[in-house]
Amino acid sequence: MSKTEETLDVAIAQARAGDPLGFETLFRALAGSVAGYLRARSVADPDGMTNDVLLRVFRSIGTFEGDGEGFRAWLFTIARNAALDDARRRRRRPAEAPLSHGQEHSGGDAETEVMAKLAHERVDALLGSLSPDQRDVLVLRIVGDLSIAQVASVLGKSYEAVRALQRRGLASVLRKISSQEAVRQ
Amino acid sequence: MSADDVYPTEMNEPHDFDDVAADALLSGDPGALPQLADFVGDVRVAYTSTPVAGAEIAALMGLSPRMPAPSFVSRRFERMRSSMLAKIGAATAVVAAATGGLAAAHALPAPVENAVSHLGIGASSHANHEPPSVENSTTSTTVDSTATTMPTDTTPTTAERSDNHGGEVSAVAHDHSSEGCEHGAAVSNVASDGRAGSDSDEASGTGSEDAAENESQSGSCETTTTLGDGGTAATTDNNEGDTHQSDGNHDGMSPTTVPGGTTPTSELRDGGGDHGSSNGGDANSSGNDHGGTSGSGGGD
Repeated sequence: MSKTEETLDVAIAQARAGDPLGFETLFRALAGSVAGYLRARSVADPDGMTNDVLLRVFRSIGTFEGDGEGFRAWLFTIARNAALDDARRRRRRPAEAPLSHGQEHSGGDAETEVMAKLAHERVDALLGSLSPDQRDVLVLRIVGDLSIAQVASVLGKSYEAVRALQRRGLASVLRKISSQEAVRQ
Repeated sequence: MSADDVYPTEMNEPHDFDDVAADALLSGDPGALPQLADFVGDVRVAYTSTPVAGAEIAALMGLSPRMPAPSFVSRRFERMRSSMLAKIGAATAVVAAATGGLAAAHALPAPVENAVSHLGIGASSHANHEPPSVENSTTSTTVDSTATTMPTDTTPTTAERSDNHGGEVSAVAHDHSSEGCEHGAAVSNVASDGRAGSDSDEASGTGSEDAAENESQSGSCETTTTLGDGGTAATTDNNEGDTHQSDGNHDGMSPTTVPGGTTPTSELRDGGGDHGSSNGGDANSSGNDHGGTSGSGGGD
């Protein structure tokens, strides 16, 4: 068990006991990952939804039984369900102007902002070329720092299915990158 | 595996990744595929950032939520409200203490004192709801149309006078059966309760002499009041036996000459306050009984 996982286990125990320090540790360790996953799924308000998800988790943490690995899987399952609900709501509503996701680079120089924006567009284009399940697997693996088993738990798929999705997704991204580089050359 | 999991063109493509290589790549080891390592890094940078904790989560974490600072108006209103509450409280305490003290001293009117005693403030001597005794009261005011009951050691202002003395004087003043000097004398006589003639005779000084002189000169009942400094009439209080200066005009006006035939001002009010308004010939006569009140309010 890594030190990060040990810290997470202690924080979970503290939060279950109502210790504010446990909630704070969990928020600092997981809020960025949850927000990143929701941003990658293009939810309308990723930061607000992250707060909602974590608040829901914190309020029901007394019912959680398990370790840090199970807690991560539980947290991202709730986040994924929230993102799916958001997608359903947005389908029923008139089209809204998409919010720019990712970090805001206010105050930085123009070159950095432009490069960050280009990186966003590139990442969005590459992830957009994947199937939804491949995208989910790669984002949960990269942004959520989840293992294959945890991703399988979140998506409700088997371990082998997630492995295959991950492999195919990476291969697809590699092909896209290679083709883009071939075009530039 | 569903059809969505695999794009049609991928089915026959070779897979270059084993699980170990994929795990190493996703954990940040570029390995033999630096392009994919850059992609993984870009994904982390692009999406991962810690949001600001909301108020409810901040409360759970024991942090003070970032609340907007109260505006200047609200802060000023808070100060005004606390100040007003303090003032109202202080005023209430003062009123309660004063009311209780007055009630304890039986200085309040009976209904008020009864109400105060019901509230438990002050003495409960009136708890039996008996009306206060007039004899024992030193400053009680009786509800009477014409008279104010004064304490026994003071001179009553309405002694030996009818309830509507002013009305009587007014009636005589409006009675034009007599004219000229006789009319004024009649009014004066009624106003002074029949003592006008004797007063004028007994009055010392220049007043009566001048009146007689003026009457002989003009043939009318014109009388003159000799005024001292400041518009005070020199009168003689026959009861006291000495001469003093009494203010013959309370409102500051100085009726130096009062024509006897046109005495009534006809603006009479109920009660003794009208006594001086019908001043036909009475301005010169100091009331023996009235003291300084005979010439009071000359023509207000």
